[in-house]
Amino acid sequence: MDRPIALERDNLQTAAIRPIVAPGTLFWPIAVVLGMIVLAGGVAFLQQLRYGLGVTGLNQNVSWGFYITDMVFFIGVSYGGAVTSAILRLTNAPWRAPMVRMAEAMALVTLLIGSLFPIIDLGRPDRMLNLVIHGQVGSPVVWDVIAINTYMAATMIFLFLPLIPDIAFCRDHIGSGAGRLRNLLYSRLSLGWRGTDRERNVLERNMTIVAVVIIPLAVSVHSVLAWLFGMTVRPGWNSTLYAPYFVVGALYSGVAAVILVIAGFRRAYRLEEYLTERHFKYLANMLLALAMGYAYLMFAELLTEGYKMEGFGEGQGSGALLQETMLGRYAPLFWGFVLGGLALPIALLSLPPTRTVGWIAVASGLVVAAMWLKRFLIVVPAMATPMMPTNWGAYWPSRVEIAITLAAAAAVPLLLMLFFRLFPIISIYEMEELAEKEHDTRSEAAPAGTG
Amino acid sequence: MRIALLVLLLIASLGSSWVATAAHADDPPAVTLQALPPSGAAEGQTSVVLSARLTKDDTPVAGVPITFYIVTTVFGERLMKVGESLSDATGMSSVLYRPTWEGGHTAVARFAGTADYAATQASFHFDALEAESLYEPARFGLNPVRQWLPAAVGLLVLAVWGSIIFALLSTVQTIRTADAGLATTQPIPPWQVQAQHPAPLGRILVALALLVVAAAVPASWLVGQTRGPDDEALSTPNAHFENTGADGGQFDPSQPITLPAPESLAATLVSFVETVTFDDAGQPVPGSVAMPADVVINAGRIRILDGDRGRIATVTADGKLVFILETSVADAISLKGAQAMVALGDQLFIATPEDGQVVIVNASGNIENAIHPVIPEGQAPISPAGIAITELGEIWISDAANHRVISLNERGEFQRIIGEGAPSTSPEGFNTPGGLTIDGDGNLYVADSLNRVVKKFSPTGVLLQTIGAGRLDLPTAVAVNEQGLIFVSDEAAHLVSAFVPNGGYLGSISDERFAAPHSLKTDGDLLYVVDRLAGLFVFRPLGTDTSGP
Repeated sequence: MDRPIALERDNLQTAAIRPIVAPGTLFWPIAVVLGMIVLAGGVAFLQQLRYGLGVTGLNQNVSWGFYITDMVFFIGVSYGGAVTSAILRLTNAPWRAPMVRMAEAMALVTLLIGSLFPIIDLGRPDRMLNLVIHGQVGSPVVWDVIAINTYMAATMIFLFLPLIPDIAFCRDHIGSGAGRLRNLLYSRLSLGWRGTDRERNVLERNMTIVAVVIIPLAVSVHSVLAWLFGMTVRPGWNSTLYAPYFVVGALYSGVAAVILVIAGFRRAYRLEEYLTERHFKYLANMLLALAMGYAYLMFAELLTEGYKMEGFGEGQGSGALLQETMLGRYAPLFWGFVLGGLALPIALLSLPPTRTVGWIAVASGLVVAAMWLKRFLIVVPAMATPMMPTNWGAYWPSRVEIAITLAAAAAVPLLLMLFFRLFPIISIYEMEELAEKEHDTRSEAAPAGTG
Repeated sequence: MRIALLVLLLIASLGSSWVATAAHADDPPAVTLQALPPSGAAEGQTSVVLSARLTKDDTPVAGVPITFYIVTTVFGERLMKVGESLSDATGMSSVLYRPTWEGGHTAVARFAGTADYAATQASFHFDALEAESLYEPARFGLNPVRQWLPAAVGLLVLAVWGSIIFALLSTVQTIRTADAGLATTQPIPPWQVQAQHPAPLGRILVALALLVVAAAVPASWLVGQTRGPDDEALSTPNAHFENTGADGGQFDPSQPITLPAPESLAATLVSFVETVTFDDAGQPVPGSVAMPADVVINAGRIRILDGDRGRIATVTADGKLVFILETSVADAISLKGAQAMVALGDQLFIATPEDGQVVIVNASGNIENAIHPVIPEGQAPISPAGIAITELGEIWISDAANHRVISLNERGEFQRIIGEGAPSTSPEGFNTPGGLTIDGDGNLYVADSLNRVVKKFSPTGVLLQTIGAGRLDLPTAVAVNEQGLIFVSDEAAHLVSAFVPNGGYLGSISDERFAAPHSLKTDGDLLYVVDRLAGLFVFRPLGTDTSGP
């Protein structure tokens, strides 16, 4: 029997603000542990600032390592979150409502973290200013800065617009009990929302505009990122396939990260009633399709390079790179990716017995970890491969790089936890809109007199 | 009987004459094709007339097709058809050819033959002074599009920014101006939020303090990265760059310097071995060493290291190169990319880029062993540019990429490290160290390439002397002879400079063929210099008084 809409709303509101009012006993211990890791990363960065990039494993041959891998990875994850949310919003998929907030918040958080890495990689952050002063329009680095900043602004607005009614809800219902600062925050950020028809109409229209804009924007961000590599003549990178390869890879890791995030918060804040197994199965289907797409693109890339094997006999070029990646020193990482990032997840997501929330989360965890590995395999072996028959480069990350990477990984759940400590984890506004629409549809469909 | 015989002979002669006539009828008469080369190409003339005349017994053959070809060497030698024309009343046939390259051409005129005339062909040479550009610009070039592309993309970016700012501002504006009286939404039902008070400030402060204390542990671990006890003993590649040289940190190796004019050092060129020869197409002929990396004298033979191809060649008495060892990158042990080689007894020690692995090769060219450096944790892999070995078997390797010089024992374990792991002008620091050598007293000489000096260290690694300051531009290798004279190859100055044992400048050896004198070794009174681009020079320096200026 269907529950009355008011009761559903009561339960929904309670669930949505549970992290704000009752975060649970594990909140602070987990936050402290994650904060510790983030702080250690901060110390590592200060260490690097003081002593320069010499404290990293970067060297003359391999000048891009963990940091660029992290940048590509985190921005890719962000892209997946934003596009998933935008596509579901534009296609008006009704099941999206309980999870879009988490996907959008994850998109912003990972983007903020990912966009820090080019600055960290510079060694001298003050030299970012040179991009403004001496930037060349023809440089993919300049394109990248413009694309990332535009995307960041769009992601913030994409998250903020549907948040306004929910902030107003917090202002009206928990504002007084939330302390002066939070009260002030809710009052300012809700902008005086009252929920009038006009407000709702304008909000809906503008959310659609941003959702429309954010999809090509996200595609462009990751394409530009791919062109940073593809526009060079370096073996392994110089490929016309790189932009779609990166875009699909980003979606793949992004959807997996969305699944991980919603699985984590679902369990932590007991949101099973709203984030049902159905949501995970739908997302698993998306992930499975992306896995197939990514496997195909990877195969196409490897086959093209493997057919030519350029420079193999001379120990240089893409032939030598392929040899090193598939059978040489990077082989454990490569086959680790193939197994852990493609074969196992595809098996787990396809077989009926493992299409459960737990196993889907496991598959997603594997994909996220393996996609980081894949980014490493894209960045480092190509740099280590000589373009002339000279020395092979080698790279081993230093403690500083490991600490900063771990800090970035820890910062994602930490920032999300803190974000949902302030704002509703489920979009109350969108859930209510959907419930009302559903209620209206039911009322219209029900025969007269049956109530 | 006689009559029958005569009849038979008659039949046989008639038959043979018929066969001969028939055979002659199938073989058309021979014709002559006379090639008529262009009379001479002129400046500015971008087309050439190719002509030939077909005659039979000095009578012009008219109305038959003559085809003209140009011999090309694209993907092997082949004929490129230029055109075909019928011979005129004088037997002349001509086509117009627009050369696509300047210089020598070979043209072929070919008559394919008809039922009346046999096939024939003729060829001729001519020089084209002008060539037609192969590139034909498109009617609408891409350049204007490329020029406007940034502006178009810029407009697109502005449009995106405009859209999202519009979305934000119009939302803000609408909400701020909304009339509360128009609210039509369902009022939120009475609902009591079980709000807990937020964590009091005190608890937050305690949590922050705990955070800081807890972070101190990994922080101290990180500090060990550059300030660990290991740093005292082993300079790590992660050591920070302290430019503490006498120049006050102002030294910039990328800036060109002006050296005083070199003083000539008399030396007799005993022999020169051109290690690379090129074919007509400008490609090195097989058996060449295109860029020799190093030279040693081993078992009375001159050995040349070809790092580019992973080979070792020996020089025969008649100056030819014979390879005694050839490796490829697919081999378990490869010399590919090796830049430095040294001899001890009958053995050759080659430092390879494979993590600084030292390959030991015997005088017959067989690989006997390989020493794998045991790289301590936190140390970068070795990128060798020079190698030297003491009588006791201690191997010194210059690690150019990490700006240090390392000694290894026979098990590959690190014994000593000189250098800071980063470019440095400090007395015991290096900036891209190159070749090494060891003198009779066991002292180590390091060509400190980008600091533009040679540094001499005691066998225990104490700096004894800095040699060549202000006299060297890009020292890449150093050698010391039995008299203690120090020879330094200077790639940038195209010289080999000599110094007396106290470091005084003696003079420089030059040769007009010097292009990049890269490495050198001494043997008796001879000096062997490997030039990366020219070959092997063997000098006998004269009048080298070791007392010095």
